[in-house]
Amino acid sequence: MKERTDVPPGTLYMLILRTLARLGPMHGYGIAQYIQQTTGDVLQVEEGTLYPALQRMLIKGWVKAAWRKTEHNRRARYYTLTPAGREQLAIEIRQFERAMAAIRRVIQPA
Amino acid sequence: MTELWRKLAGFVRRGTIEAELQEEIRTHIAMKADAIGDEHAARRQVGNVTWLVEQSREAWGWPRLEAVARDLRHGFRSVAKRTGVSTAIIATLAIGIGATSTIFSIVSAVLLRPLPYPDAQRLVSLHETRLSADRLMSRVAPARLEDWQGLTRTFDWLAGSNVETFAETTGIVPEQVRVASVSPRFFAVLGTPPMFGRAFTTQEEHFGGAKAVVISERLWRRRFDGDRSALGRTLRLEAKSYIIVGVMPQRVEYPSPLIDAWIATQADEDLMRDRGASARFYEAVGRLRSGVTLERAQSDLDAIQRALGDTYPKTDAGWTVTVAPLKEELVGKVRPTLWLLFGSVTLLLVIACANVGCLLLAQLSTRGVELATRGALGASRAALARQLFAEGQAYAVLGGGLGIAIAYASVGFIRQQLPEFPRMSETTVDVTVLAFAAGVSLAAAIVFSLAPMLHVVRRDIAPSILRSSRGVVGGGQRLPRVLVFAQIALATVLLVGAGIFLRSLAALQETPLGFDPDHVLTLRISASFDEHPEAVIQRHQRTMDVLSSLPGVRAVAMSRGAPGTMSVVPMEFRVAGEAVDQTGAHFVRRRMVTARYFQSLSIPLLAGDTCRMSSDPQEEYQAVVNKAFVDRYLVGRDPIGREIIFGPQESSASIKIVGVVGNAREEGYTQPIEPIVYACGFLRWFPDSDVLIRTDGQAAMLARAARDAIHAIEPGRAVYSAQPLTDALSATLSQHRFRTLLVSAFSALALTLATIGLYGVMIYSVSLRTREFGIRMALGSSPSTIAIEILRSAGTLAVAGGAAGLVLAVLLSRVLAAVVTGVRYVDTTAYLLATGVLFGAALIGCLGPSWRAFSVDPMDVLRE
Repeated sequence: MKERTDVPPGTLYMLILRTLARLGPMHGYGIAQYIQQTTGDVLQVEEGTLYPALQRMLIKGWVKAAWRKTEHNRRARYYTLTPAGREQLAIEIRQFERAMAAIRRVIQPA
Repeated sequence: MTELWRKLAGFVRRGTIEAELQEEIRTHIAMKADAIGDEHAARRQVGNVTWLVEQSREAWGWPRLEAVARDLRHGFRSVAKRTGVSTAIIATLAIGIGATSTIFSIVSAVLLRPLPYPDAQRLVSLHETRLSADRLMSRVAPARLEDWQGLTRTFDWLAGSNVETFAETTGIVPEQVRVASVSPRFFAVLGTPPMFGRAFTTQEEHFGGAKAVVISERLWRRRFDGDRSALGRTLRLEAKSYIIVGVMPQRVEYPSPLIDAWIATQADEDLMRDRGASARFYEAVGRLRSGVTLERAQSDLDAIQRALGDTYPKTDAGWTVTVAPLKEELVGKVRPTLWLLFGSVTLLLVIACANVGCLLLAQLSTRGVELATRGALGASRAALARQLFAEGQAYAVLGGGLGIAIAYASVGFIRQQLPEFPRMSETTVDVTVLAFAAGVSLAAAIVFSLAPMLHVVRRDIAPSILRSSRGVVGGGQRLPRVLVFAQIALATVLLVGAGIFLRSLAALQETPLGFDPDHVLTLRISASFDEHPEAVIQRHQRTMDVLSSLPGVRAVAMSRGAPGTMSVVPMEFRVAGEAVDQTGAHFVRRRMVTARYFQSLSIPLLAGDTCRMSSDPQEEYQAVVNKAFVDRYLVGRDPIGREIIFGPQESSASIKIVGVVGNAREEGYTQPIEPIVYACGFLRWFPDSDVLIRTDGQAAMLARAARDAIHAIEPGRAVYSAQPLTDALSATLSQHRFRTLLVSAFSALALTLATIGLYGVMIYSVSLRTREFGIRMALGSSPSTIAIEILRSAGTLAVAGGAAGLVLAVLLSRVLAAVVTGVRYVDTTAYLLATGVLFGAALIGCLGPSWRAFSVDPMDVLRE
């Protein structure tokens, strides 16, 4: 079994937004699965952080939610990116990259 | 912003949100189970669904608000548990908040709110003003009003009105109605359209036009039961028919509270030519053009009146115009009284808060174990303080709610008591008052929770509680004693205030009037101003004859206005043959009376005789002057036979002095004695003059017979305001009486609260020291020594509080006498009275505790 890591703090919104930007409308389970698979099972999104985050994003207006049938004919809540969410994604990526660049400078061997 | 909206929307559908979350997570588990093929594992991995839903739902919450709500819930629960103390606290708060809100609702409606007309800040009152030293203000003549309107560039509209009392005779019996006779443009100035119907047309506003009347909502409801078919019906006012064209909403109370109807004056050519004193009868009001300041309007009218002075030197020179905000004119007189009441009631509220603080502190000690336990279980001091504050809020909510109910009831009562008080119809417990009450309750909660909160935060509560419940000598009583001291001091201030008002009122009522109002009945008979002088003379003679023939009647007279109930406007005059000094003309008050006026009021005749009544309308009045007149203008000369000339011109008619009478306070209790000229004869220009009847028996008993006798000869007229003269005089003091009553009530409440506070603190102190007393008695102290110790301790508090209160009262009463008219006595009696009452109450407050200390049984204490 591979070593799993929790989502680094402050990046969850970015990950969710990015996932939705790529996949289009998706439900919570799908989002979690996608992140897990794309990171080669390194990043694990806990339900206990995913769903509160989605609710906060609804309040902030970054995503919209609608109930739809899945291909297995289950009723699930699908989240869609809003224009505000798209803007936020750009902001989050920019901030993340600046932070990463800075961190990298610190940990680089001299 | 939108985020807030989404959250609010979320709050509305919070049930749905939770259901949706649950479903969403169940779906999630199902999907996971499908993927790994093991439902139990899926469940295990996801964990506690309820907790998950709870976590997600919290995003929608208002964490801070919810914490407050939780605290409040807890507060209410803990308030409900202690019924006794809680009842006392809530009642105290309800009284304080109720009284404060009541007075505030009057202050708000009368003083703070703009008048109930569109753009009310543009409404002004106007007076003609003499350019002489006395700056005598006068009403405005219709002719001059029209000139101003024609020339002004700063007013949209100018108008005038005059209130008269008419008989309305379309009903079974004549009904007295209060009618304003108004100039053109009157309703345009007010800017308020009728509820329905219309205001006057231009044709109806001018001479020769159709006779129309606009009635008040009150008259409409009273006479027509609020039926819209009243429009087009007829009112008969003093034998003339008027078509009802509109109904004005109740808030329109201009020019007088309790106004019933408005008719157009329809001034004829004669009146429009008259620019003299007799034509000055309009109460004038104007609407400034938008953006025009009071100063610009004033200088505009100054210039106009100067120009008119050049055109009409005889009548208009020497006069200017005074422009003032209409609101000031209508409510300026009651402003000091209202702020004074508001100040008193605020003191009462502060006392109530201090009292509640005391009760809470006392209660705190009995709850020591509970609080100590909470503390021991890990509640921080901040949390304990927050809990106490939450309880304070719970009290405030309950007390405030009850207080608002009290305010509702008492505002209704006050409106009934003071119908003639300005803007009473607008005085209600409205949103502003509710907001005020809520604010005051919250502020009160903060204030009175402060004491117990300080107590908890400052001390380590558990040891202090252990000490007080088990120790021998109780300590830490400073805070409650300070609170009681403050209550006593403030209650003393209110007591002195009430004392000063009571003494002033008594002094006013004992002021010698110079006439004897006992056994005198006054009444008025409705009449219209356009009744012909000859007809008036005959009718007045008839009336006086029929009243004189009633059994028990000594004398019947008439006068323009009942004595002592109104102010008399001074008129310019000179005595023929006497030099007028250069400083300007003399002014004297002139009263219109019939010959028997002096006899009916028992005003002594000092020289000469009263006048002869001539029924010839051309014949001049004769003059009777009072002693003050002789003393000022004719010292050492024989006044009889001298001529008095009214008005500024040579041509004015002169009247001859035929008699001298004693000084009478014609303007009532509050006004000084002034020189007066009684113009004596039939009151031919004043058809609705007051009738004065002196009887052997009780004045009130005569009213019925007098009314019947007049109805027998004048079936079409209304007899109104029939009352003993003593009642009419007493009514002139109703405002004084009202504020005295309220301040006395406030001070009685304050004293009661302070006494309860003193009692509470002393009894608490005794209960804490029972053990000490028991031991001391066992060691040989006598019970009386201990009782006296308690008495002394309470006495110190009362004396200190009383002394501080007296000092404060001395300072405040100076302000009081300067600001409020009719408060003339800053006297020692009021202070002694207040001190006596205070100590009486304080003694009652500490007798109980002393007795409890006296009757401590040492054996009981030792056995414990």
